[in-house]
Amino acid sequence: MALLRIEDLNIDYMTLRGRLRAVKNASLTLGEGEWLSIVGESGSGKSTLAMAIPGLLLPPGRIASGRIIFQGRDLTGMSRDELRRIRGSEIGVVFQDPLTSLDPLRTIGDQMVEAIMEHRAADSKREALEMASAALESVGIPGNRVKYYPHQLSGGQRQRVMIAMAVMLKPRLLIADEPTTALDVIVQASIMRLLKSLQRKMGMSIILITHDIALAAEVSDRIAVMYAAEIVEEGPAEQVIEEPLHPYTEALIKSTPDLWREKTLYSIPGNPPDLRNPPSGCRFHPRCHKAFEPCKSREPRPTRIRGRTVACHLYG
Amino acid sequence: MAGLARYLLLRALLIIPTVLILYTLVFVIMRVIPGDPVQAALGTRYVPPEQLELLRERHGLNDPLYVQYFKYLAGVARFDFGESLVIEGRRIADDIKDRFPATLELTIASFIVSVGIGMATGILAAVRRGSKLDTAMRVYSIVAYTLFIPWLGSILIMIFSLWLGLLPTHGRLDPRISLEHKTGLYVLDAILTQNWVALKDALAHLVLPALTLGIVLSGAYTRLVRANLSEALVSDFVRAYRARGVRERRILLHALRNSLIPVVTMMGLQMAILLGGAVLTETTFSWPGMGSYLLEKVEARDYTAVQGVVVFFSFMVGLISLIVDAIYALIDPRIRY
Repeated sequence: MALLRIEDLNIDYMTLRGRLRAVKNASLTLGEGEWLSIVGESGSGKSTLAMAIPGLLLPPGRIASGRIIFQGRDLTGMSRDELRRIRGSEIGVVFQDPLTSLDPLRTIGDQMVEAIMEHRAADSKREALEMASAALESVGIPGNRVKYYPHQLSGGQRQRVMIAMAVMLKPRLLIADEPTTALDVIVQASIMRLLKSLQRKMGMSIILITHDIALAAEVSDRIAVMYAAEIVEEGPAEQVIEEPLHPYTEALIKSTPDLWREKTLYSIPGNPPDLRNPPSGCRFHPRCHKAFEPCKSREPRPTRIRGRTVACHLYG
Repeated sequence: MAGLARYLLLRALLIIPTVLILYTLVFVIMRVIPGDPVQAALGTRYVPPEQLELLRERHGLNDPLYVQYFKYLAGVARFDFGESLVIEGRRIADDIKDRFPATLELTIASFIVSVGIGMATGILAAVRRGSKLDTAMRVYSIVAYTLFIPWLGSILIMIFSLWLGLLPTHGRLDPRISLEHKTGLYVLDAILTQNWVALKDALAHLVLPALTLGIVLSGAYTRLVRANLSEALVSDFVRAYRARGVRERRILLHALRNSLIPVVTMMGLQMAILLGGAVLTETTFSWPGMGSYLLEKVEARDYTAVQGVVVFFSFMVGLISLIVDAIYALIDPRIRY
C-alpha cells in the first residue's frame, strides 16, 4: 500500500484581487521508503502542494477540494488537533531557511524537548533531553549542543539541527522544502548526503521540493515536474531525466547549467503565466516550441505512458 | 552569567555620564537665562538691595561659576539638591522625599493598568488579525491614545464619584484615616502596618487616577503589541513549531516573547516619563506628586528646586534604562555577549 496518495488536490489562495488556484488537480502517489522530488520554478505551486500535506498552508491558502490519504487516513478531513499530533511524529518538515526557522530566544534542546513532550514520546524531560542529544548525534552534531542557542551555530549546522528535529520521532514521511537553497554549495552536498543516509537508516519516505532538477536527478526515485500550478510530468527519476516527455521538462533540463559544456545557457522564452489569468488550453503552450492546434484550446489530460504520467497533447 | 554581570555593570556605569551631562545642561541653562534668580523668585515684591545681596550670598550665587558647579555636584553625590530659593530653609531633597512616593505609587498602578489592557487588546488583535475584533481593538487604541486626560478624568469622577458614589474624587487618603508612613507608598505602608482600613481607602483613591492614566497610555501598547506579535506569528520559526506539532497556545507564548523587545523599550520610556510626574493626572485628581510639584516650582521661579528635580529625574531615567537593559538580556540570549 502506498504511504501517501494525493487525489485531485486543488488549493486556492483568496487574494484581494480574487481567487488564485495555486495547485490544480494534483495527483501523486508515494510508496514506503521512496524519494520523490517535486521540481518547478518559483511560483509553480510545488511548496504549496507540499505544505498542504501536513496542514501547514499559510493563510489565505486553503484546500478547495481533493484528498490527501496518508497511511490510509484522509488528512484533509482531520481536525486541527489530530493533524497536529501527526505533525512532528509521523510527518517531519524541514524548511528552506535554517537561520529563521529556529526560535532565536531558546536553546536548541528546549525546542526539541518541547516537541518530544508534546507527542508524549518521553516520560520525563531528562529522557527527552537524552533523545534530543541522540538526535543531534545522528545528524553529525555533538550531543552537548543541546545547550546552544541558534546564533551559536553556523547555517549548515542549523539546517542539521532542523533535520534532527524533523526526524527525532522517526516519522514515516519527511518533507524537505528547498532545504539547501539558503546554504553554500559544499554544505548543500553534505546536507543531501545526510538526508539520503537518514532515509536508508530509517526507511522513511522523502518529498523534496527543489527548483534544481539536476539535484533531484541525483537523489530521487521519482520526479514530479510542476508548471503553473499543475503537475505536467511524473515518473521514475532516471526516465524523466534521460527521456523527458513533456516539452517543459525538456526545456527545464536544457536550461540547467553544465560545467563541462561550453555553451550559452538555454532559457525558456517568455515568462511563467499569471495564475489569476492562466492561458487557455495547455498552460505551457505560449512558451512551447512544439505547440500545435489543440494546445491553445483544449486542456491536456494526464495520460499514463511508459510508466509515467504526462499532461501533454503530444501523447494522446 | 559572567557575561551578563559584566554587561549590566557596564550599563550601570553609563548612568554617571548621563546624569553629568543632564546636570551640566541644566546648570548652564539656569545661568544663561536673563535676570537674577533671587530677584525672580521674589517676584514684584520690593526687597532692599542689601537683603538681596544676603540671599545671593546664602545660596552661593556670588561664587565663581566653577565653584557653584562643583559645590552642587558634591551635594548631589550626598543626595542633597540644595535649598529652596522661595521657602527659606526648605531642603529640596526633603520635598522630593515627600512627593516622589506619590508619583511612584501612581506610576506603578497606571503602569499595571496600561500594560495589562495594552497587552490583552494587542494580543487579541494579533491573534484574530483581520477580524472585526481586530478592528475594534485598533479603534480602541486610537481612541485611548487621543483621549485628553483631564477630560477622561472628569468623566470618570462624574460617573464613579458623583453619580455612583463609589470612589473618592481626589487626594491619596482620607484625612480622617491615620497611617504610619514607612515607604511613602500608602498601599504598601498599609499592608506593612496591617492597616486594612487605610489599605482600602488608599486603593480607592488610587483607582481613578491609575485608570485614567493607564487607559490613555494603553493605546500605544495595543498598537505595538499587535504589530510585533502579528509579525512574529507569521515568522518561519512559528511555522517550524507548528511543523513539530507544538500546541498553538504554546506557540503564541513563544511568539509573544519574540515580539517583546520593542514593547519593553516602550515600557521603559513610559516609566521614565511617568516618574517625572504625570502633570495632567496629578492636577486633575489633586495627586501630590512630582508633576504638580514641578509645576508649582516653575510658577514660583524656584530655580534650585527645578534644578534639583531635573537632576533627580536624570537618575531615575538612568536607573530605568538599566532595568530595561537587564530585561533585554533576560529575554534575548544574543544580547548577553
